[in-house]
Amino acid sequence: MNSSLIGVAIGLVFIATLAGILSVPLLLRRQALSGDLVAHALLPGLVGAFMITGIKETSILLMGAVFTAWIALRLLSPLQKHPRIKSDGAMAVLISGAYALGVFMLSLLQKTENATQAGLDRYLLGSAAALQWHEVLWAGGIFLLIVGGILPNVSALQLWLFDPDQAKMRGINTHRLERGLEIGICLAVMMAVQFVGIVLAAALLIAPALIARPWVNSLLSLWIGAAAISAFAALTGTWISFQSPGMPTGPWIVLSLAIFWVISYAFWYSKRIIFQAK
Amino acid sequence: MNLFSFNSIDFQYRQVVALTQASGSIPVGGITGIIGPNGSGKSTLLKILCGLLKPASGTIETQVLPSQMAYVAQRQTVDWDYPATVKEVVEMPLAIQTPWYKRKPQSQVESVHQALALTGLTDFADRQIQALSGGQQQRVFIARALALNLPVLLLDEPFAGVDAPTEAHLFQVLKTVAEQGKTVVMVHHDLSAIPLYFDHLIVLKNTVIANGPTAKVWNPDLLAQVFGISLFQKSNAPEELIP
Repeated sequence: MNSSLIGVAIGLVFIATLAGILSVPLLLRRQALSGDLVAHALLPGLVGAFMITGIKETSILLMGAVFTAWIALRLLSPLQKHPRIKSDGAMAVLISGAYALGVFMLSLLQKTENATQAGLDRYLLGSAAALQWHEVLWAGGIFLLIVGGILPNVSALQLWLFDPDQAKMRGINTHRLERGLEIGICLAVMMAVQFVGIVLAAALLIAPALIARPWVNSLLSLWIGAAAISAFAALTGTWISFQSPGMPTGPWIVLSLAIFWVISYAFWYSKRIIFQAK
Repeated sequence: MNLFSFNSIDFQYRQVVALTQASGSIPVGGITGIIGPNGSGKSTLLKILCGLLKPASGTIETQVLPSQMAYVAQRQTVDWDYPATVKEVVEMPLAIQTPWYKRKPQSQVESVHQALALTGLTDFADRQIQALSGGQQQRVFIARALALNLPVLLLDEPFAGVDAPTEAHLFQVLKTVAEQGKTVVMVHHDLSAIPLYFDHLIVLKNTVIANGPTAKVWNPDLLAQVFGISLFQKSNAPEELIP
């Protein structure tokens, strides 16, 4: 087993587990597509950061990306609360609008600076095999940061996710939780897009909780289940892609999740049918 | 002594006016009913009293902090497809008082146990909340508020979707709470029970129409004025006029 396989596997497990943990609040708040919005809104920020600075340094590009993603998320909540605007419509317009803006900016860049634009394409489709050790450390750091932010707030999160008004009444700073969740999502998606690409990143923030949900009876078990499934999908995807050369890692992770989802629901339905027949 | 005094309160949801120039008071102790037709601003007033909504203008004076009020929302305000048991939901507001690395204190276990027993939920304690009926969900919300053991209890239509024997039982529970010196404020829609249930009334129709002890305030003329019906003709009244 070579060290690059181990590095890719560890990095992807960190990212996938993180996405799995964050998929739980998104599912329970019925905001599953927020991850998709963040992923698409990263693009204009990424390209914008490069246009302004002219430096193709990952950290600078990602700072720009997180900035526009966060703006898109902040735009979303007033739009969703407005009674005249349908929230799925608002989401669809924001997702495709942000992506269109990004693609437009990419094409502008292509006209002016042909050679340098190539690197930015990486984020469209992602490239997990190119994961380097320092990026693995980054992923680990962000993982610890978010898990460290969640742990002391588990009880508050539990109440807030179920009943936000009650959480407010009990003195919980719900704004802080909401902003914290937004930042967590931005960071997780930012890590994810590098390896699975903009289009597939959202799946990592939707599927794990969805797969685990029928089988669990508490928030804690949903969290553990979603994280474990996500990590397992990351390992499966990495293993498959390293078995045969040319197989892309990101799509295999997402495909594994989709297969797990089908299996999960097939088992759940058959269990229900058998249970009812008895 | 008044627990709440509110003066000239205005509140509107975008285009819809909920309250205009509403003024009134709620005394300490006893059971106060907030009544009025649909869309008269009852739930809005309750939310303003407990601090969940801020009025556009007007003042509220109160003897208690929001942290000393237990609020029971309508059960439709949350998604019951949530991975938790009845006991966990009742525990949730208490659990935030204990850091995650510490065991929950015995007093908390007892409060939850008592609240479940009072609301007749002991047998359902370990049931998933998504498997409950509407009436049972309502009882879970009331149990959760009782477990907090706070001096003020604010309830928004706590008997909606609850069958008659359960309503009678839950009312008895609230009455006992009030007899312990606590204040119960309740939005209610069933007109026939009003003289029986409430010591004080706030009658709303986007503003306070009447406010005071039930014996003084409650009369057929008021009913006709606010609801457009007479109590004696209630059974003949069109459905939409009965709030």
